[in-house]
Amino acid sequence: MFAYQNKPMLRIFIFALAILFSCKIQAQSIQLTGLVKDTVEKKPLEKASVLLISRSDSSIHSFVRTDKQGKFSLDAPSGKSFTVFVSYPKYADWYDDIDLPSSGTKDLGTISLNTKAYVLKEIVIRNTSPIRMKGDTTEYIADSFKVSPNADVQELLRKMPGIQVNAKGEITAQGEKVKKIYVDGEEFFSDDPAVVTKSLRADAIQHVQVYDKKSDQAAFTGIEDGQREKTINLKLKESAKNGFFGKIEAGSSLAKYNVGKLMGNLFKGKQKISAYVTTNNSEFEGLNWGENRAYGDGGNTVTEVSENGAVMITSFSDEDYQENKGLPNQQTAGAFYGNKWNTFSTGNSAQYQKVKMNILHNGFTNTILPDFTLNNTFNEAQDQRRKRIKFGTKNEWGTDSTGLFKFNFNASQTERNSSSQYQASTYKNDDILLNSTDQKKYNEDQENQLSALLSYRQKLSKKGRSISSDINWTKSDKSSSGSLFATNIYSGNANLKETIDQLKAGKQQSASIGANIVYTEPISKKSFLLVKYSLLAANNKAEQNTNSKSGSGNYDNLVDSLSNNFSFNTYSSSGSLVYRYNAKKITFSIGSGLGKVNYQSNDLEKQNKRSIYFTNFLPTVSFTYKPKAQRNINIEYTGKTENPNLNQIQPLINNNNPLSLQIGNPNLIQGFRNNVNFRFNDYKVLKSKSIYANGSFSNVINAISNSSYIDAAGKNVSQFVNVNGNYNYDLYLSHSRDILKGVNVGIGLQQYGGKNVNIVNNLKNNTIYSSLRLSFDYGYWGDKWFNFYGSFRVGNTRSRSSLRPDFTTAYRNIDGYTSVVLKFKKIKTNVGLWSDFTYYGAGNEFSSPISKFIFTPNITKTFGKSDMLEARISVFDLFNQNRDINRNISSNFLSQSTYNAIRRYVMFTVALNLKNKSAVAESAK
Amino acid sequence: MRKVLFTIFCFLTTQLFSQSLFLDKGKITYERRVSQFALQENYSDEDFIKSTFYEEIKKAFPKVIVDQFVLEFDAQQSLYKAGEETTENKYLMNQFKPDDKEYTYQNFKDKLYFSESNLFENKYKIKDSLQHYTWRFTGETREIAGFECKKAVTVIEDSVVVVAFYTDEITPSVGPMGFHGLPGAILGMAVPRLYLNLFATKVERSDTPIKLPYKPTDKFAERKQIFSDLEKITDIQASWKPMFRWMMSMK
Repeated sequence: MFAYQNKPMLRIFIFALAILFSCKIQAQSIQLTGLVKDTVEKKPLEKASVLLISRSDSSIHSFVRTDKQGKFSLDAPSGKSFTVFVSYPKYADWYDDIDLPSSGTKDLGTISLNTKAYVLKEIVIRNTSPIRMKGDTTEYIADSFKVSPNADVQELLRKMPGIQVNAKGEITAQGEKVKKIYVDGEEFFSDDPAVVTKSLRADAIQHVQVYDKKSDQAAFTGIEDGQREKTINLKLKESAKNGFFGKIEAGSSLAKYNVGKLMGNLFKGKQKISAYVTTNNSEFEGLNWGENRAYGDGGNTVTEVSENGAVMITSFSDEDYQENKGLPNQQTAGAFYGNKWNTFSTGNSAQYQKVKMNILHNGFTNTILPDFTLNNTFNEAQDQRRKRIKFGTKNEWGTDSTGLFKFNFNASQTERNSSSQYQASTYKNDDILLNSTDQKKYNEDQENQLSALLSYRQKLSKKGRSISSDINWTKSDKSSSGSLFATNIYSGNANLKETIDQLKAGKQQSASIGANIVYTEPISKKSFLLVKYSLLAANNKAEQNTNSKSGSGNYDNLVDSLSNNFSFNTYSSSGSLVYRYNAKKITFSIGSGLGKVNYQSNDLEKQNKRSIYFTNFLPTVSFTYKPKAQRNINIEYTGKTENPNLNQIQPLINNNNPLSLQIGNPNLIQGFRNNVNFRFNDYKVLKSKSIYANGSFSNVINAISNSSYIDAAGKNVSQFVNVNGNYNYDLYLSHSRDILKGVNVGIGLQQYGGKNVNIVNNLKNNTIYSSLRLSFDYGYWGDKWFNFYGSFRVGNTRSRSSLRPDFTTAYRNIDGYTSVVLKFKKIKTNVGLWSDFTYYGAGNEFSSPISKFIFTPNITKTFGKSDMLEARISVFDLFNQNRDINRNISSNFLSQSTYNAIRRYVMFTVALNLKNKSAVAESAK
Repeated sequence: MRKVLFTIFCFLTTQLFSQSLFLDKGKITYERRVSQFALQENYSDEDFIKSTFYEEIKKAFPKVIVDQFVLEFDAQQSLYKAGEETTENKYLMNQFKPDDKEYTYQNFKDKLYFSESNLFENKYKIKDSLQHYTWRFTGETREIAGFECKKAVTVIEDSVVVVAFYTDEITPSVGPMGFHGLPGAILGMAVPRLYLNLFATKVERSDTPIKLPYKPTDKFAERKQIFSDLEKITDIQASWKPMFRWMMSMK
């Protein structure tokens, strides 16, 4: 521009050109000018902001600040309507509507601003309506104030006497500005009154309460500081908080299999009430996991949050039965009640479960011995029943900052009974029959369990300083009775035949109490020290009496060798110290636990006492490096003492299997396990690419292993012994990525193995085992009409025992599954195809391959506005091949067994999903 | 001589007076609050929200995550970046975790926008023109950090309402993230759809010149690169994508 200073003609020309251009572009622009002054002192106001606001959509068209003389000049489009808004700190705003001329300039003249002190508030008094006083609180009954059908709370408040809402949305109540607004006593997402009142519907409100809130500090300490804030609390109508959802499902195969489910869940504010009743003999589940989450108490879940914010939720089951092992038939019923008042919350559940299982289990075990092989085949039919009633309560009171108390209590009563028939025979080198047994067993027991947990934790005022402690108490009582009738034939030993006919009665009592206290102290902003101290005392009493049939025909002959009365006590105390360093990219921790444990046993009949002490040592070091998002490397070492238990030192003798006898070893010493783990993880979300590697190695010094002596007749006497040389390792590598949009494939490679040392017939046996597995995963996700995912794995397992170096057991294992889902949205129909297969190849000891292929197609159609009604036809195991297959090779044993399982059926199911949720509550969320 | 002194005195007082009323360079510290449960619940199905699993999550994570951010500004430029770290924060969504390296730099003189931001593992260095916002004026006011602020509303990405509170006592038209264009500095913001709000806790005068966060040799991409990459992601549910899009377009 300086270059043009002396060429006025050129400047005028450029200016004219600019005008010409601007005319072409935006109709026409005019100049809006004015002067801003103080009313009283008549001084010009500099830097006052002048806004030009479009009257059609109130958008800010442009703005400018006044100059030193208080003058302003704005370019404005001609012929349009605007509001001019002028503001200056500590002065009341000025505004006026203007219509701009089609050309020329518009001068607004002098704009005079008043200081706020001059602006008086106008108080409007209206006629009284239903208002009441509750202590210091004024309460308005919302329905008494008429508002338009879809009005918001702001409109409602405007109608209430004593409350004013100005154009800016600010609320004044009883002459004071309202600072905070709550919904049902809790802070709504925003505490800005204008936001809250605009986002809630007037018809969701029952009461409007106006009161003076004490400061948080005063509320916590109870010490008045005289600070008050005018606060409004909006109480929602009950109907605005209530909701119901439920499910009714019935299915039948029109013959053997039936399913029925009835579930309901009711919400009333913070109350949750749910109940369910189910019956099912088509699969092993009362409530599936998702249903348990929604209708049950969630079962036993533990949630942990790691340093990097990852959540781990582990749920454990106290279920004795396993899926796909036997034919189940079960009925369950339960109810849950949860509620919350301020900082107190409670959850209470009661459950009833009745299970019946029919199990057919058969298989073989081959034992490799120095000179020969023992082949045991068995066949077992079981009928098991269980009834269980459980009650649990979980309660929490307080907050982390003021102290959080927890109290949990659980009680259960379980009744079990089982009867079984068991036949087994043992051959030497596959052809010479050594022994055979035929047993009939019956057992019933009743167990009562109680447990309680009381805990307290508090975050102290200094960041990172916290204290927590808990006390755990358990008690259980079990009484059992049963019978054993067995015929054992020992062919190897001059055809000895033995008949056992006994009645057994047992009693077990246990009680324990434990306490922990943990204190964390920040050393610096990034490092912490954790100190923990634990105490535990546990008492167990076990009594067993075995009576055999005497000459009189009654069971009154006490078998001394199989009857005993013991008490076991454990007392331990331990402390641990951990240092932890947390930085953005590096996490490091080092520490150890050190403690003493005392085991005491007392043979109450023989007055034989034993007491042993062990010192426990648990060092741990961990290092994590996070170079960037979704990539981390972790190396960890843990060491752990492994103590023999009293049953290994001095076992309780039972003759459930007369051909195998367990004897004690008083010379057992403590073992020590070293474990090193390495993990690498890298995940790229945008490319849907991941690499994961994991490796671990562990060895045990003085590991507790088994020594068995098997005689030529097949009788096995075993004992726990200390050995050295045990180790195991596991390496896993996987990589997955998108090959096409949405189609993800992954490959994985795993190698695990180790060495197991045990003693067989006084000879040391080293078993070296390994398994190599290659897996291939694929999936197509996306909300399309067609989805699939699946996995395919090929593996090879081998094992070699030093007893028989000539003898290597190896077999191939292939398994996989595929799920295909087709969604036809227009006709509201889903087709699902599920298949899985398992194949174990032949190997030296496994003469023939064993496999199964399960194919389960289903078709589901939904009806109604919100898919309320659902109808499904499903075929389970179309090719009728289902069973459970297990194969295991370890040390000098090889075994394979199968369980019966549910096979082919066609099921017709109808389900009704009920949902009733107030739209009002939706809008209040 | 007396006349000169008087003039100096007058000059000083007016200087002081205007200083106490208007600020043209300085530093604003913001506190950002994200109600992560509300956000999570907005994108999850009802069964999940009612589940015990989610109940457990709620016990382990804070309901609201609070983070600090800093805006340095003068008449020509502004630099927005992470402030002091809140170490005990636990984020349900890592995307909300502040990163020291992320910044938004706006040059109002040259009308240029520079930023570095992360979307999952990708780092983006962006150079583009300044975003244009159409602000709707409401006339409502509230006080933030001792300043009287006026409310204005804009819409981003066609549907996401952003509420801003600005003060005309700070003269440059600056704001947190990529927001600007109001007759003053934005001291408060709320994005109801993201359950996010941001309020200034401290406003200081500062004469330290603003350090450019980028090197002239840096390689930059355009803003639209982020959105086209986001569209390509298959590992997150489609329903979550708008949230990421809104977050990235605010930066």
